[in-house]
Amino acid sequence: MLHGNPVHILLVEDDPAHAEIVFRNLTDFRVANRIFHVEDGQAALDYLNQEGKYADPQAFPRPALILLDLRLPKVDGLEVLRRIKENPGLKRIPTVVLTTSRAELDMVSAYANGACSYLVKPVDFEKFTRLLESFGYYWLAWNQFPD
Amino acid sequence: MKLRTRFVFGMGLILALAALLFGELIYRAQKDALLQGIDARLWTAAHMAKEILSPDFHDRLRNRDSLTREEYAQVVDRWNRLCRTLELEYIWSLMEVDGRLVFTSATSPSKDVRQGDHAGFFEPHSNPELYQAALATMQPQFQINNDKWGRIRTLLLPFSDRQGRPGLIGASMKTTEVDARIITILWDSLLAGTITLTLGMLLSFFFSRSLAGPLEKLAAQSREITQGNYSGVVPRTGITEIDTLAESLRELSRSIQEQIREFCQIQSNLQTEIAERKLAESGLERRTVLLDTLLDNLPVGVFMVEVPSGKPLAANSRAKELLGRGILPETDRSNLQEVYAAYRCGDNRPYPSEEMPITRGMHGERSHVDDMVVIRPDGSNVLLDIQGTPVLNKEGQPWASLVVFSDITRRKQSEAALQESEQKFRTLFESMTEGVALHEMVFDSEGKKRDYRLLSVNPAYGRHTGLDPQKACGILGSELYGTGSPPYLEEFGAVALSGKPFTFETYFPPLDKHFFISVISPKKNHFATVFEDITERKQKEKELKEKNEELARFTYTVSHDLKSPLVTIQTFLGYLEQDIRSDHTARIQKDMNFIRGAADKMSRLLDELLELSRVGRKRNPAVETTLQSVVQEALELVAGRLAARGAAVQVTEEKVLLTGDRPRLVAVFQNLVDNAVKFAGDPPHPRIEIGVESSGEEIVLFVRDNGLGIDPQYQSRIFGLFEKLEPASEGTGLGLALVRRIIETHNGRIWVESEGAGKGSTFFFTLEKTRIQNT
Repeated sequence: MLHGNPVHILLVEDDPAHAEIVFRNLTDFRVANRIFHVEDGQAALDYLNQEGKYADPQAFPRPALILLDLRLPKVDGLEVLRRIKENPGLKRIPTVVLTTSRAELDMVSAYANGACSYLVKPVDFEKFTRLLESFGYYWLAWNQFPD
Repeated sequence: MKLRTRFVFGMGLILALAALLFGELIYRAQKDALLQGIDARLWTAAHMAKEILSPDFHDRLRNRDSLTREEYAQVVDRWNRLCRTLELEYIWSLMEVDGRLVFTSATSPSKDVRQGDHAGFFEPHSNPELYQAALATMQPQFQINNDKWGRIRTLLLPFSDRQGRPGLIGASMKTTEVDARIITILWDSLLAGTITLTLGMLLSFFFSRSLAGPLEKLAAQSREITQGNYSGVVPRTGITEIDTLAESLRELSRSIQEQIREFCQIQSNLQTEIAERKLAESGLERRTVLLDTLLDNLPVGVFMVEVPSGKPLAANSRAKELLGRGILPETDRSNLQEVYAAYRCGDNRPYPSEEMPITRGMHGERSHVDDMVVIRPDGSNVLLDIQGTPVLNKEGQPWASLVVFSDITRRKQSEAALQESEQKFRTLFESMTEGVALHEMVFDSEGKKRDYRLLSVNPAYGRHTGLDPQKACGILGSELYGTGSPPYLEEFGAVALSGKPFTFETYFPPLDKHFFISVISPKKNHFATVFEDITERKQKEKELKEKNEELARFTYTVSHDLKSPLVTIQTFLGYLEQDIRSDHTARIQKDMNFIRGAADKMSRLLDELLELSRVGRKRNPAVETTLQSVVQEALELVAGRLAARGAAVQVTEEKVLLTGDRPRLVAVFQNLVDNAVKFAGDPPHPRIEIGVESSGEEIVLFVRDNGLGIDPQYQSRIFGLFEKLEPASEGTGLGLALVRRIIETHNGRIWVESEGAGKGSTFFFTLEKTRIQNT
């Protein structure tokens, strides 16, 4: 539609319902995009480092964008963010925080740790779908990623 | 004046005086001889004239007619002849008749009756007062008159006739011739005197010349000596005495020369000694005056009595002023107390005589009292401080007793006030809950702060520091706290030097306590620390901080975790509407499942949150129960899950007694067993062991499983609120938070040990008041 290259997204979300919402909105948007879903912080790090069960680069390619929840089991979202930005091979991947928290501290910490955007999940169907729609346009249609 | 001059002059004077005296003596002798001759002649003449008259001549005379002219002439003639024979000037007789002095006979100035120049018979005398003296005494009288006849010597010879009428016979003679002779004699004697004088003068001149010459030389030599010149030589004169004198003078000169230095020395010493003595004498006098003045100007009273009588000897003006009385004569040792109205301060009873310093001084004792009140005659009181001392004689026996005293009425009042104030502050100091310590700085030789020394501490100091207040005083800060260098030396020193107060909070490792310390400087180089043990407060603050943090986390997580299902519900309701409209049947069921799941989760969350908040707030009364009964109840609650998973539970048989909120303790085991089953993992026969271990004095309970285990890196997180290691696992993430909370309310602690994933986990925890009963 806008450009031919599919965009790989890593979704880090412990709540399956929320993951379902993201999937429904983004997969509707563009079929070519692939979303990889992990449910906790440790799994996200393993995926990105291609370790453990995510060791196969063909099956689990590097994402072009990370959509990260903050409250995560095992390793906290902010910690995941910090480790991504510490890693020279990963730090260039744009990371967008998607969380229910409006806490100032979370927001500041997220930006301080290298988040490039901070999105709060609205408690409203219309708003949530519009948010994800806008997100999709912006990141998946307009935004340009290096090859 | 030279000796020679003096000699000649003296001799002249003596000779002149001798000549004058000689002349005078000759003159007097001659004159007296002449006058005596005259007087003898006058005496003879007067008596002869009387005899010439008839014996009754005057008795017969009555008046002018009692004698005829011839008879009278005859009498005058006889008297004229007598007058010529005796070379007299005049003879006459007078008689007092009828109050008048009348001539009864007289010679003629011409000595010739025929010339008729004589005084007439019964002719009144023109100057009768000339004879008053002679007639009054009726004694013969010699007179010298200077009258028209020249210088006249007169004899008046009084008589009285038979009728008692007074009369007199006078005889007179010119002395002019006598005087002429006397002058001649005088001249002769003066001539003789002058000759003697001249000869004497000449003689003395020569004599003095021969004697005074050598003497003058001697004198000159002597003068030289007196002027300090001892070298002169006196030549020999040949006069033995003078030569001897000259020799003596030479000897003397030598002797003087020899002794003069010694003399000078002695004189010098003597002068010094005299000066000293004078000084001492004047000093003594001055001291006496000084002492008197001093005594009367002393600000203290001085009073002295004699020993043993007790009679007052002295009282200075201040003593009189203070006592209201001076020296009272009726005083003796028996009534000193009464006379001077001495009472004891406090009970106002008469001061015991034997305890009075004045009395004790009489016994030779020194004493001091400060509780004597003297009531003065005007009724006013004075409280005295008295020093008594005996005054000893050379033998060491008291001869007087002396007291020195001052008015301490005001001082006592202010002392009392001070004592009260001191007492107040002392009480404050003693009963303060804050520790107080007074210190002084200790400097090294270069004046740098080196250490400080404790001077005084209050009881609270001991309580806060655990140090013995008695032992702390006088000890250096570095020694007392065993820290090597004195704690807070810089901070304390700055206050001690600047005087600026300073407060700070600090943790003091040697005592493992937190203190709030106020430092003030009561005076230079001193400082006081007022401190409070705030360890408990610090602990509370820390706990409060933790609680606040937990609360913040709680609020945060609650808002987040409660919002999360709401987002799900809202969103899937939206999808549900869409799906119903588009009749997307497959998704309708899915949407509704999501909504239901979220609502259930929310309901559970709310229940557990409520439970969690109750744990802290609402407690059931503590009861003693056994571990087995608590575990039994818990197992019943999770029996279904245990059975479903086929898990075996093994409980210790040791009799462990637990004390606490029983339902909560049941909840602890319920949650732990539930978790163990939930995370049992793959093993076909999950095993759960509930037991007890004694670790020293501590009794540790545990719940062990052979399940999934917990990676050590997550072990610290699992007791947190809403922490879940397994996103897919059921539960809210509040279970272990609740367990920890319950254990904490029982003053216990919980931790987990696991060697890692797949190796099972053991949850250990302690509970206060847990004990094992030995059977």
